[in-house]
Amino acid sequence: MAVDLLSKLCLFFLKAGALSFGGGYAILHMLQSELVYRNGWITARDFADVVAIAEMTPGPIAVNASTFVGYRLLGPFAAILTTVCIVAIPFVIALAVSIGYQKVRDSRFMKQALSGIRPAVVGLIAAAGCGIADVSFSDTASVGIFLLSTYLLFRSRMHPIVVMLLSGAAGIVLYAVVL
Amino acid sequence: MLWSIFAIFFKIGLFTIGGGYAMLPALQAELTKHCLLTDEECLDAISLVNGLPGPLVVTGATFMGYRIRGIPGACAAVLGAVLPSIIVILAISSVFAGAIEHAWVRAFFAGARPAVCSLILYSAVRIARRAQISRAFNAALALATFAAVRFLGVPHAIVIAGAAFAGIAAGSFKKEAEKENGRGSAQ
Repeated sequence: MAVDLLSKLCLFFLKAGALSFGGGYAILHMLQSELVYRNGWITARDFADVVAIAEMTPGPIAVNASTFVGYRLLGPFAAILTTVCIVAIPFVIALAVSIGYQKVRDSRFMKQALSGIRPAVVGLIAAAGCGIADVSFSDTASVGIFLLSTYLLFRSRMHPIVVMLLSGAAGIVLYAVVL
Repeated sequence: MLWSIFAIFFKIGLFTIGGGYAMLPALQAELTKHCLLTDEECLDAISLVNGLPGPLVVTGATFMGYRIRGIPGACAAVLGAVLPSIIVILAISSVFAGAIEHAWVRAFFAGARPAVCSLILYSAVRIARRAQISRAFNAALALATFAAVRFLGVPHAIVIAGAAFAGIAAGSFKKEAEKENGRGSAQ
């Protein structure tokens, strides 16, 4: 029974990994419909918790979800196995592309394609930033933190990790202690 | 060498909240500081992995790790990038189930989220410079991509394929024009 469920879970996460184009938010809908509604492996409430945890913890949402579901259903070993499954196919494809890339890097075709993709990536990053801005700016304090951390990054050249930790500390002071 | 690749990706994986696009500037800063990759190579990595399936963190780490130290490098980088999130999720779901509801934890993340926006802005500006965004064609491509993803919900893979096609079309067009010019000046 457990082995049956485990193999089903592994197959599902292999598939989810292979189909996860466009980052976390793009596959959120697919994960939800399959995990919650089609297979009933976790409840809708659990799924909302995974999303909240994924947003507040390091790591890609797909990886977090696979670890969480594996652990919830079958314990820590299954959690590691499901995580390996969701990473496996993207890893193999990216590795194949990396190996091939060194050979085709200097081809004119590749250069032209990359000259189009590079500016597009700027647009993709801007869109991702707006998506996070949508849920980040709730009051004047958050705008203040944004301005200050932008200054520290651009002007003071402070390390991104230090900026994150300082902003988090500012959040504790502002939201938990003062307000 | 493999250990330091693992350590760098682990450190970045542990401290960056907000997904792949927030991780990029941190990774870029760290890898260029240690002279493991150039800004150019980082941008190539980011450009390429956008069109591949899988979390940006996983595909990006694979590509960057491979460029640094071949297949072992790719394995070390992916392991380093993914391990923090496995550890954190296992810890949360087994020990600190209530921690995420704690007022201080929520306050920390409420403060960290605007900083994630700053990080992404920093990343976008840095990459825009390298992508020669001041050229009208490039700026138009960036704007079109932004609109397609943000307002129309076009999947990333399709946007990337379209941008690659635009780059190839513009490249061939430019070559044709140069050929014409060359013929004109020869006469």
